[in-house]
Amino acid sequence: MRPIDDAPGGRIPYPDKAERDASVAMIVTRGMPARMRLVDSVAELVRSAGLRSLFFGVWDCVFLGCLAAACVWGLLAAGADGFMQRDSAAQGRLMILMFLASPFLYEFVHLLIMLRERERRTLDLWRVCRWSFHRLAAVRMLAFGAASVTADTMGCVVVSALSGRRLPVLTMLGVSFASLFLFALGQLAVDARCAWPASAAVMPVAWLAAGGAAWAFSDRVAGMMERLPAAVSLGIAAALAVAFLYALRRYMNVPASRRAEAFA
Amino acid sequence: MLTVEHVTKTFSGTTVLRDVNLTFEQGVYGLLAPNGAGKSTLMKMLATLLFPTDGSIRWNGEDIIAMDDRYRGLLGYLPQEFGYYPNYTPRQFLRYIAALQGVRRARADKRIEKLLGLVGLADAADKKMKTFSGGMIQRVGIAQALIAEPQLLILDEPTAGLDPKERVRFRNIIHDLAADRIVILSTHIVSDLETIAGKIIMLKNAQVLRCDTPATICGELEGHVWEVPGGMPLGDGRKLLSEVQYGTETRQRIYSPAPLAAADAITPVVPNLEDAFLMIYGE
Repeated sequence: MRPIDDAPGGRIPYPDKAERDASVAMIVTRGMPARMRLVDSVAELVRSAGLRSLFFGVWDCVFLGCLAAACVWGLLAAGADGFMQRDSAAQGRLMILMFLASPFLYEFVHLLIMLRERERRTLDLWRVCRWSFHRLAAVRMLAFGAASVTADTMGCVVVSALSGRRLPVLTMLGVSFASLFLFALGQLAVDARCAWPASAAVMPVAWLAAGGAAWAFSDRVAGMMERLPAAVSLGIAAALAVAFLYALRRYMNVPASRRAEAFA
Repeated sequence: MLTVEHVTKTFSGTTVLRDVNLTFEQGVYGLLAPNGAGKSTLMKMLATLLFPTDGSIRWNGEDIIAMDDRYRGLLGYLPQEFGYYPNYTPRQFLRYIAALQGVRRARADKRIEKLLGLVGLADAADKKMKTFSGGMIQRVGIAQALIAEPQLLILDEPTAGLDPKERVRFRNIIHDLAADRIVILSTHIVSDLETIAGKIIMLKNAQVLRCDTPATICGELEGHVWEVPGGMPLGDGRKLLSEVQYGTETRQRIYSPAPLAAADAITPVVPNLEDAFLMIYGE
């Protein structure tokens, strides 16, 4: 410290710049809440609430979602062989359909659960529990995402096997995962900014519109899909997955003052 | 201690609550007002479901929104429309709530047994809630609000739809609970509060009109409430509060600013909270 001379009765020690900066840094470090990693946040909730609690009351929605997704992929797989024989760009068009279908399980389960919670009027109750509703919703989204990745992987393998041709499975996986994480990212952004019921409609409508446009220009889009290297599609998928997980962590840790109000 | 400091709430340009100032300490507080007066809005702000447009709500000096999960951990809330899953039993449902409240399983199970006994559902603990009456569902709602041993209990219209026997049972439960916590309950059923509320908060025109004990509120009408024959003309300044049936005879319960002339059929009566409610909110 350097003393100042003009204090009555002698010199008063006064902190210099380095000491002031160190004090401010210590106050900020102790005062700011520690940033929790996504995996720690998830583990804390799962340890406390239990895995079964995460989908309490909505297991039938999960089952229905899985059943519906199985039907969608089943249709794709069943029609793959016939589809592939129709024209030369069939592989690319099949990939367009897979791109559109990949987020189905994720979104369908998400929608069914939101409808169920609103129909049973349980949302207000969950919002006042100690574990924040955002955190519970985020862990559910992770679970839907994991289930969708599994479903999409199985779907790609089955479609490839039944198509009668050697389809590039890795490229198909990349396209499928990229679609899933792109959709999930978009849905997260919509949930953070729009109130129900708009939040339920925006992404599916936008997805269908984009799908319609892609199908309308399927000659060009199919060609691009067919030429897409596996490394590129998987790389894009990985980047979107990282973006989704980052957005999910932010969603989970949004401060209470910035959360949407419950329906009044 | 819970304090509401200069809280205003506006929805799409309409002010539902304006400059509300309240302090809550241990005991039962009754929020009494007609439908649409802002009771549920205030209750939801206390439960952090809604945020004040202006002002703040503090728990022991700390803003409840900034407290986040620390505040929710000490709060028990029963919403006006209590949602539940019909295909689950009360035990399963309460276990789920306990898990979301961060109560460990072993402790939660003991607590659930005790609460189900308290609300009279011990025999129905493992029956599906779709077989329950409205009163039984409401009792599950009260039990879930108590699962984490809250210091603050917020009950929004807890007796709506309950029969008289259920309402008496509810009052007895609340009376026992208020010994060591803050209980805030909102209702438009006056009789629910008369015997259990230590203080009554009345809302009118988006503001707090009164915050006083039932005795003080009723005491202001002392000497001004009379029972008179049905059909008797009221005269200037007098107000009909309600009609009372005694067998085949109908009598009117009226407010009179000045004492009435004594007569056989005109009797002064002790004013009750319903009289005060009708005086304040009647047209």
